[in-house]
Amino acid sequence: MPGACHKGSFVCDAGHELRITSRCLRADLKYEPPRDFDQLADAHEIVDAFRVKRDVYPDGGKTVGPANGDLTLYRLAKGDDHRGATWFDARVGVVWLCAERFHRSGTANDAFPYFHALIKSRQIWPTREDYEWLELDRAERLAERLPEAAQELLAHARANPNQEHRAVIGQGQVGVVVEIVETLEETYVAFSVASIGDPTRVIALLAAFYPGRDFGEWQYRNRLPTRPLVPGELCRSIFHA
Amino acid sequence: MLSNLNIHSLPEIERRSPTTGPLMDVDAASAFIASVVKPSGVAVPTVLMINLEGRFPSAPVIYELVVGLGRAVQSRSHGELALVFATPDPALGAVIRAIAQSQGLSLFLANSANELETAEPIGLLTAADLETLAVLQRIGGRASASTLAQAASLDHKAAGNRLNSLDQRQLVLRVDRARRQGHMYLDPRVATQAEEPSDPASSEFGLPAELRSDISALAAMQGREPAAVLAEAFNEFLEKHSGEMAKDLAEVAKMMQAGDKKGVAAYTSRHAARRARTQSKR
Repeated sequence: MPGACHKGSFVCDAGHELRITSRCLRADLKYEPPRDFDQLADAHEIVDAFRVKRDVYPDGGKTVGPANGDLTLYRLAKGDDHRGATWFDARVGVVWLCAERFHRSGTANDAFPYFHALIKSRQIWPTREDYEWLELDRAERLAERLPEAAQELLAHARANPNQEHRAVIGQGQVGVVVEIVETLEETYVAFSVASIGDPTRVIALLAAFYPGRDFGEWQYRNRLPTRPLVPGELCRSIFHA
Repeated sequence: MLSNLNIHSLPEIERRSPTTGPLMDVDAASAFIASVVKPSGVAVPTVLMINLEGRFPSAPVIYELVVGLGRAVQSRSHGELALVFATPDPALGAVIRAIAQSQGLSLFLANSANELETAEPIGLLTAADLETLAVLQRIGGRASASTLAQAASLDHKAAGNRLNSLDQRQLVLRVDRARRQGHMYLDPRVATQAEEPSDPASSEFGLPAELRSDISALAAMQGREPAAVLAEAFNEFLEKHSGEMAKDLAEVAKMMQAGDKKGVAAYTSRHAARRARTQSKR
């Protein structure tokens, strides 16, 4: 199966994550958040549909209510009875399952009047609490991958010097080139500032490559040996005997 | 010493929307106006953007919104506040233009809530007004009378008069400064989302907010991509705080060597609450 569950997320191979808002968990699915995604996917049909239908394309299909620019909500259906509302927050790369309810047209408890009331009261979109959990889960995921992912990438780069090797570490791609000049080895590490997003993650990344070295030994570089940097990319290099 | 990225501040933008769908109730429109234009006014130059995407106002409601908000803003009793309506609907745009023109109101009209920089000034505008706004936008959206005079090949007094005339109608926002420096005038179309200060943890830029707000303007002035300017500014931040970074790196390296994944997670999530606060604003 593509993708993998991690804490409150389903991390899709396409790069985005699927998550459930705390309001939806408490009020619609009757769980106290935070809750691991894999527990919910097996317990609720709509969560299973969420994973299957938003795995490749983060949005699309019919909207819930009128299209509303970046805030447009999309309809999620499972069989005749289950309906959900999803929203893709492209800024953070997360599709949120914002609401779920039983669907039977014309009944008092039908999903769509409920969704519209949540839109009207602006309660349907994720809150600060949801983003804070997202940040904590992402920090934990990065910590779990470091320093092994960095060392693995460095080993590939050393085995094939003067070529760029790339891997996703944390929220973005990291490129590494090892250049060997006589007995000296220089390691270049390039990353996108927008995807790394925070100086603490730069520090963690550099520490993961060479834990025994000082920050001052990492020199600013305006290009990789193999190519110029793309706009928004930053590169540092370090010498290693 | 101040970085070249944080010499000036930009106006802040506040995006507000009536509820989605048909808007038929004039009383609800009046209540909406009262909810967005507070008697206490704004403390910093601010752009109020009314997002009408996905909204379908009746004629009385759109009249109430344009005239009610337009007059409130133009009264200048709420501080340095400019008004922008956003709609992708050309027919609704034409109606807003006609109301502004007939009521002597000056404001901006954008095609969407995310296209402030291309918003069109509408209402009673002279050719000189339009030329002044175009020059102001071309030079990065911020100018004193002397900067404008130089850019538009005007004498200083004429440039001052033009800016003052636009300021009277809230088509530019004024920042009062000492007489020696002269007031600074801001084009509302360079406004940025208000952010928490001193937050090096934004999902958009990963930089302190006081730098972030200037990046787009600086990139426009330099004719460069914002991403390139962003990377440069990020690097500047790392250099400026190299002592702190060195200390952090040593601590994080120790945690990694000890297999303390929780410690590493706690370090990289130390700005989680602030980042979450920024991310939840929309």
